Amino acid sequence: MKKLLEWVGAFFLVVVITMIHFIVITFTSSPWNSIHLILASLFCLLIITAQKPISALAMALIFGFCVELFASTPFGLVSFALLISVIVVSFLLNTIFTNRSILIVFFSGVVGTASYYIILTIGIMTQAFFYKTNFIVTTEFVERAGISILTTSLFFIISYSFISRFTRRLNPRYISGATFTL
Amino acid sequence: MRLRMAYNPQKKIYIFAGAFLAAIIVFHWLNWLAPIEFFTRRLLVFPITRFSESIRGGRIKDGGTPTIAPNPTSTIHELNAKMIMIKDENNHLREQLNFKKKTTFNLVTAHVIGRDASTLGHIIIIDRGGNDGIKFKAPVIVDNGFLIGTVIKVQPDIAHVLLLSDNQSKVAATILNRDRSAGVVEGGYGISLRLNLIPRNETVAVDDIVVSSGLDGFIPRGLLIGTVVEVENEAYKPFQQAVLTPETDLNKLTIVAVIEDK
Repeated sequence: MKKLLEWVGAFFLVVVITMIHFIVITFTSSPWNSIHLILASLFCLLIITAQKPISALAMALIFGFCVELFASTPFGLVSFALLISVIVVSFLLNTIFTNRSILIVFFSGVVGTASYYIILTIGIMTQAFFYKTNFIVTTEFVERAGISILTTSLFFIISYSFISRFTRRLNPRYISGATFTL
Repeated sequence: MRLRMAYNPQKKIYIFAGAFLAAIIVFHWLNWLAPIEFFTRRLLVFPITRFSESIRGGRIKDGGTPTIAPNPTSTIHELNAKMIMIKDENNHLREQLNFKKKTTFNLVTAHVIGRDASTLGHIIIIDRGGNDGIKFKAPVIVDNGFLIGTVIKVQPDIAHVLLLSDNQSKVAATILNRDRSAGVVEGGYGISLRLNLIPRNETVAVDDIVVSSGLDGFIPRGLLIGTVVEVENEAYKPFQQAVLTPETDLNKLTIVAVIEDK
């Protein structure tokens, strides 16, 4: 029963965050529409679940599936990019860095978001090569990606600051890796 | 003494995640996930559509009848705002109807329901797809035949439209000047467009009108694109360029029409 409730809760969370992400990118103006809420949510989940990235990986796959339905990129590319960015951030937080200071969190967000856009770009260029279409990385493209990396990382810091204040006061058994086991 | 490498259980998790992703991709291409995709898309689109309707103040049903049910507790200001939105929508549809009468195109009217989820380019999502006759590379217009983009991805119930302002957009165009100069309209310059590859010996002036030339093969000739606001004719460049202003604001699209291929 507990597992079923966890699954239902996770599904509800995915749907709500995906809808908010679409509403933000559709109805807000620049630079707010550059914030990638899904990436920021996944990175926050990675930090909460500490040493166990399995929850974040599972959520990355589910988020990726939902975003694929509304993305113009080839099916599977967004999910792959989300997965790799989660793995990269998990590697940074668990292997390279030992603390969770604001600077480290910001750097992890920048690296994670940048890896997402790099993989997405490589995927689109590969598709353009094989399907003989045009895809050029222009200055505007790099600017938009840069703005998205910056805004997403800043949003990640703000979310992390808020969540860390809240989780410090919460019973540890609710926020360990066991909470989001899927 | 043999050294044993420590077993890394996370590798197993990564391999499993990769295999699961590969399976989803294969099932998608085999069309086995179509019902789940359709249900999930409906689940996500419905609240977004409702949200945009609440901002716009109503929508036009397929039969063309407005469906506004004023809330008895709405204030006069809210009702006035809704009325302005409905008038605006009515104007868009009236202009599309005028355009349809003047031409022989089959038009599929669609609402803009969102922007591309990957946030990379100027791509909008419309609520018509393959089931409604939308085809890949179909031109998309607004109002009285103003070209705004082309369809780049078609799904059963939605389609993605690449706007002219996107840096990957390239449309063959003609200037309605004395020389009928040809060029390529490109995006990626913010809110304006650029007409490149104009021969240097031809005269281009401010306020010249630019239309589609039909040389693409999939965009009909004569669709209005924009007006020239600046001409750049440098002696060291082989071609001249013109900066265009689109005929409509590409950031404020609500109702569009897709030209069906006959």
